[in-house]
Amino acid sequence: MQDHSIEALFDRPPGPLWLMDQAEREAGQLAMMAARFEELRPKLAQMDKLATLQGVGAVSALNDVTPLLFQHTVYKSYPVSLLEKGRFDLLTRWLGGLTVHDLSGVDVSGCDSIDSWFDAIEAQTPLRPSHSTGTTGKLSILPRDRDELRRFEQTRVRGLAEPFGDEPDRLTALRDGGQPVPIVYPSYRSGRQTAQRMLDGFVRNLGSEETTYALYNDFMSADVASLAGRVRGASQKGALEDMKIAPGLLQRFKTSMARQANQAQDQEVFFERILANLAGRNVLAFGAVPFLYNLTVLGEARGLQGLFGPESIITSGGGLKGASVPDDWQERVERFLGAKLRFGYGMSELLSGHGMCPHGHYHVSPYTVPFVLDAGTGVPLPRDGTQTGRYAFFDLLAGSYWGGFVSGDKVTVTWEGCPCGRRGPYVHRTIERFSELEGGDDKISCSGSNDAHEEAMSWLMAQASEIA
Amino acid sequence: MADGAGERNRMTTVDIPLIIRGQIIETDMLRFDARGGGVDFRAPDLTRHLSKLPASPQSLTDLYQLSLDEIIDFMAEVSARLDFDTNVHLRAAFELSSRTSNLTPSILEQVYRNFATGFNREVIARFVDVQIGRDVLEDWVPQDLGGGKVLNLRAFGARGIHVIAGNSPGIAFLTILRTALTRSDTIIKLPSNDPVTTVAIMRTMIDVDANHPVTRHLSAAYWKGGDERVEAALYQPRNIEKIVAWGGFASISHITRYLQPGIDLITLDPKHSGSIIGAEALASTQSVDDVARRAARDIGAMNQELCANARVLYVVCDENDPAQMAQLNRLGERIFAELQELPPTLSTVAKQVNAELQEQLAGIALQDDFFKIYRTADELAGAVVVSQIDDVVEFSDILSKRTANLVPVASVADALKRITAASQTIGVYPDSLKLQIRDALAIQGAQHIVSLGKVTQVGAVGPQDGLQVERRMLRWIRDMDVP
Repeated sequence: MQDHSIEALFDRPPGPLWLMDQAEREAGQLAMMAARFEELRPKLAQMDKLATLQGVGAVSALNDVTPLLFQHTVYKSYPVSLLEKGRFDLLTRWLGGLTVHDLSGVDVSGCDSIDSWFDAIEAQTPLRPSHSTGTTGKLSILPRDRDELRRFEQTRVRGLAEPFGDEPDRLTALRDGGQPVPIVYPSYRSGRQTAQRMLDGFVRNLGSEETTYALYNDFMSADVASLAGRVRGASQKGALEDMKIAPGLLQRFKTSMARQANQAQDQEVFFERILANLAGRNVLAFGAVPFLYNLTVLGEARGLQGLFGPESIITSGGGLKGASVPDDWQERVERFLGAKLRFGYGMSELLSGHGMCPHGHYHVSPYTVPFVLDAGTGVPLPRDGTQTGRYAFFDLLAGSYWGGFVSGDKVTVTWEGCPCGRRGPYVHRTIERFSELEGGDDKISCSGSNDAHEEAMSWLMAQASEIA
Repeated sequence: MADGAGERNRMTTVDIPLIIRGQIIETDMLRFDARGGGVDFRAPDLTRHLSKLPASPQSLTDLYQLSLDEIIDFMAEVSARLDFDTNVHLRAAFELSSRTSNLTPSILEQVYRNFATGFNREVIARFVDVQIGRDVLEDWVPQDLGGGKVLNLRAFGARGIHVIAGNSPGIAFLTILRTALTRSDTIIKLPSNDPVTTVAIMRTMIDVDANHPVTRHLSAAYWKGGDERVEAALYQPRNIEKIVAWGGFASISHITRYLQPGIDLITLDPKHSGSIIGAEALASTQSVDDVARRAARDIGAMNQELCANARVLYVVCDENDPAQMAQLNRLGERIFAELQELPPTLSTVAKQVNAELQEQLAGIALQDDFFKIYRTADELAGAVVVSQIDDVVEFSDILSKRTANLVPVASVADALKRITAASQTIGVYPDSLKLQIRDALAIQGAQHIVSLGKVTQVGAVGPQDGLQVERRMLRWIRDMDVP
């Protein structure tokens, strides 16, 4: 009998992992999802409620799980006023409905900030939560535990260069000699945001603190990231005048805003540091396209090329984020950095990423059960041929929380037949956000409101400008 | 959400003419992006007609050869001709709007029918009296200032561009009526969510009298909002004195680029509305039922497409008292039920879901500690979210398609603090409370105050968003007699 456990799947080497045919792969995935449903339902109040609402009693086919996929909003469904009122007990109870770990005995009486609440949770439970960047001022909080964090780190390390067939084993080449790998990261060094959790994993598994070059050598505070959301909440209650923001927090907010304003300068200083310390060395570097392109422009201005050693791994993703770069950006970036870029597609809700093969396809590993949903109806599209719609998935690496998610991405998936030899589904390179596809078409309505986030930020800036 | 090739295959193309002072232009057509509902539209390339669009100041002289009564007669005649059963232009507009508008056909039909039935001569005459006062429109009105000084005051029309909203066809009619009664020259910038109603009314005016001065001072054009080639040329003090701009942040911000001395911008900002409901509402089953019926009307009328519709409803209620919270939840449940009972001319299930709103509702639907949701499996039917603590849902900005949020507040004073200049209409229960808090509401920023359940009966008479729009459209001139 086949061992349908995530441990067995996780331990498969890349060859056999990528050669499973659809029937074998999906049989294992179904068995795991069915077991996960049985096991988690009694422990996850929120998933149980969804199953009840949708009338799903068991998972006996892959598509049975699609009514049970969580929207990204589930992990941010707490009222932001809990933070303002310091009701960390209620926040704990809320999070408790999303994890199998029992949080009822957690003592949060000493908490006075979100960071301190995370500290308390981590000190008293196996949870190692990840939070989002909080672009809208409200953090989503994923209640991951130690085991998931470990798998997350391992899968992300493997994902750097999964050699398949005769593809070169670039990770082994990079680690050649066993010295800590220099890591270049253009953001905060630490924090609980998914990207910082990932960086921690690379530093722990491949590098060292001494050989890590982060743009900002400090901690990304969840309190700073959620400040605008708190202000917005207070403003909505007409209670802005009574709002008390700890001076230290306001100071950190001010620093973070100053960094955004000085990004270009900070990047130049960072560039000098990298140039002085890492020129010619094999490194592991990360960066969204606009950042890598900015570095390239700085380098080209000095007539530099081949900055890093040829065995370097340079990982990029996340799209252009609204920046405009010339058509030949990739060629120029690679010439300047001295190594090929490796692309990945992933999201903070997903523990493993989808790495790109030499044929430009993002491959979905068997740890993830992908679904393509009809953009209008949400009905799952056939699991064959090529399908375009909303991307959704069940993350089998998630064991302590519900791994089913619906994304906001419009993708095209081909279910079989990549010339690279990997079996199974892959996501095409062009990925769009549904939110960016809608709207913006000159419709005028008398109903609407101002940008509340913008107003909260400007209020905060005014407060911050009054402190020394 | 409309998407995919199937939609495109069923696409029909509609031509939106350019109307310049009674002349209909349908040449140099440009195609504009699909608008949903399988309708694509084309409109003349405005850059080829820009020089014809502005009027000269002296061209307004012809409007002063008419008495106000003659203008009222003409508008009453136009209104009568906007008979839904016989007017082919209005029928065509209705057919198209049925596909492009967020409003459903039964509601739209009612709005279109109201053009003929709601604006007879008497109504229009009263509108002039209340909004402006007919004496200053007709002649110089002397006022003795003492010491032999006399102020002779008269209000004159101006040349303006109205960037109107398209969420209700009534806005097109109101704009034309305002233009006629103030003896103004108006260019209406058609909104893409209703490019047809204005045109239907203007075509009817041309049928009634193509050479009537009122007809000859109305123009309608579509261009893509923000098109610099058009806007930089039009928004010049030599062309216009007034801009009346409805709606969104984006549309106002690109207009502000062209502001300069000599142009008066009248903004009708996007607004949201709500309700303040006293503790009396939860006193008995009967009061809950009564308040639910009223609240459902304020929320659901016109499918919550208007700025006046209630979205967040504050109810005085102790969030720590289970009995009171049970009543509040019952009120939420009853409101949802009453929403389903509204007459189809006023409210129906939505045409399509708002995907972002559904995502947000899905997020909070899985827990009962902070929010309870009353709805059915039919996402088109709307929903009532009852906050279990004093907290408005994060996504209150996008509450739509008959979706409202009931929020318990400790006191009326607590509710009043949340009213701002962005709060247009506040429905109040009970009536005695309205009298007590109307000054405070006004000081906080609210603009229209009405009894709960009567929001949709407020009508167009009276100020809008704290402004007397017709008076702002006019130029107030004094001729001083000084001894």
